[in-house]
Amino acid sequence: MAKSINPTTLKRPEEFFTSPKESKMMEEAKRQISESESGVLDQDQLREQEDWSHLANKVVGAEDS
Amino acid sequence: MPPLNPYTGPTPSLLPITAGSEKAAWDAISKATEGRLTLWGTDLLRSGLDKHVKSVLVEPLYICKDYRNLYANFYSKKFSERSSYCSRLHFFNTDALSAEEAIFHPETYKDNYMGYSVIEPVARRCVGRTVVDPYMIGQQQKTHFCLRTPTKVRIHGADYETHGFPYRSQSGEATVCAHTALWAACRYLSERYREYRELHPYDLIEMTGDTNGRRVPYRGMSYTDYSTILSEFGCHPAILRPKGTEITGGGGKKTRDWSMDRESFFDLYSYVESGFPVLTSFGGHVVTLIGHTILDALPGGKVADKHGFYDSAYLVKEYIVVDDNFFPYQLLGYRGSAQYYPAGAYGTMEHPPSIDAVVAAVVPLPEKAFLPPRFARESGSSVFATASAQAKIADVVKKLALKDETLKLIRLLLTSGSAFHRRKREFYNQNTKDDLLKYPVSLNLPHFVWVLELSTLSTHNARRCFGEIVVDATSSRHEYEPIYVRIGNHLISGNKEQEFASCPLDFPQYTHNLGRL
Repeated sequence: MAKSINPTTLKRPEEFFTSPKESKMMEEAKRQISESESGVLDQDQLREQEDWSHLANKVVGAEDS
Repeated sequence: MPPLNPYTGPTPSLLPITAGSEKAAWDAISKATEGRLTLWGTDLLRSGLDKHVKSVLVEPLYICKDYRNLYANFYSKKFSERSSYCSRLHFFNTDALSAEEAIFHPETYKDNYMGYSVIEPVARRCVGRTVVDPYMIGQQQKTHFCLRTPTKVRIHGADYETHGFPYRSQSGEATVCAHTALWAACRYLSERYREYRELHPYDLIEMTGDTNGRRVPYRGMSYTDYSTILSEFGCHPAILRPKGTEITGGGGKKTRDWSMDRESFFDLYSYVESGFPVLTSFGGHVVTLIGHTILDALPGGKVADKHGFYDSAYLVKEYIVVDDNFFPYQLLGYRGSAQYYPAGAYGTMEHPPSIDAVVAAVVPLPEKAFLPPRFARESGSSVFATASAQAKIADVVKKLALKDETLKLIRLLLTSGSAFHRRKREFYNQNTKDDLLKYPVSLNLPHFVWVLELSTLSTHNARRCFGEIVVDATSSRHEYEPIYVRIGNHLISGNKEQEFASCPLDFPQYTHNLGRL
């Protein structure tokens, strides 16, 4: 009869929570982030729309002094 | 010219550098390189090594893969004959050895080995591939956070190792500062990570586009060239283009006002803190940011984010830079503070180098770092600002009796999941009372994570923190949810939280990140 194998495992993440309480932190944060997200997106879109063409062909790495 | 018999000579020689006789010693070193070491090269090496180097082992004939690459593709096409051999200098911080001992007993002198410099047979700017350990030339591990990579060196069969950031000067014939900066960043990455192939200087010249005309003898490059070359190398570069109103700086020169776009500078700092070499253009010159020094108090002009947190970028005193016109590991300050270059050195430039004067920066990111730092920072700040987090933070601050509780600092960095696992495992082995250090080791982590740490100034100065948010950097902003949050001895994951009363309230910061050996 084959010998049974008893593997050992690393302590699983859920095993750390021996007496967990309910947390509202993530929910609260998500609400805050989604409220401010429209502003973040607008800012990013504005950055993309900015005209950077004055840098496009500017030599920025030719100093040889 | 006497016929060269490279098999029989010249042979390596060791030259001591005694205090008070440095000039004579360096003249002798130059002679031992058969004149390859020019006055410019001597001055550059002495500016970084004097007071630290006590002897130099000279290999008069050395075949350098980087120089041979330039020689085969460029120098050999010139009319004037030029040697294909280089010399190599090895620096020791002791003079209690001979050439014989250095080569036959490297195990005795390996702790005295500071690094090396290849000397190329070119006019004036002769310093080729150079790797010197910054912590053996006066920089301190506790205050200078600097990228280094191990480099193995073999001298006539003797194995040595040094740890530093690769450097070479521009020849001014084939290469410009952009080539040397790109070469150094690529060589750093290929020495450190197997997935990147080794590039040689002429590869970079060939990778430069020709839409702006011929590539040799040389032409200037723009930051878009860097991005193209780094993409071809295998990176996925991010480009930062800080806004900045031009103002008149010290000496009547124009500079830019970084406070017009703090977020871009926070991003720049986070990339440096994460261990990426950042190619930074000042409009006419490029240097590579490879680390920073640190203040122990927040300077004037600091502005908190909308939740009241200060970015630890404010604590950067100087960036550690590699500028190919100077010895590596120079310190770049803000406008008005002392700079590493003499006044007038960059007199023709509209914006001489300073932290404020950044025009564009290119970061060689790995592919799987999708979440932008700005979003990781702002969202993490929102998590720490929730009522539930604030209550825990107030409790920690009270229990730790922190008097500077109003100065709450956030510190953002990107790291690989495996490096994060390793560091947390090491921290746990150093303090087995902190079971919460074990928690991240138990997690399956993505390729890259953003880590946002929370501390006050006093805990930051002790290189500790009491809050930490770990986020999947491969996620998108729409998927944002921390993998876990730790505040003091509270652990929060998803909709569960628990206090671990036996765990300490503060824990070590994640310093030296990807730059760790």
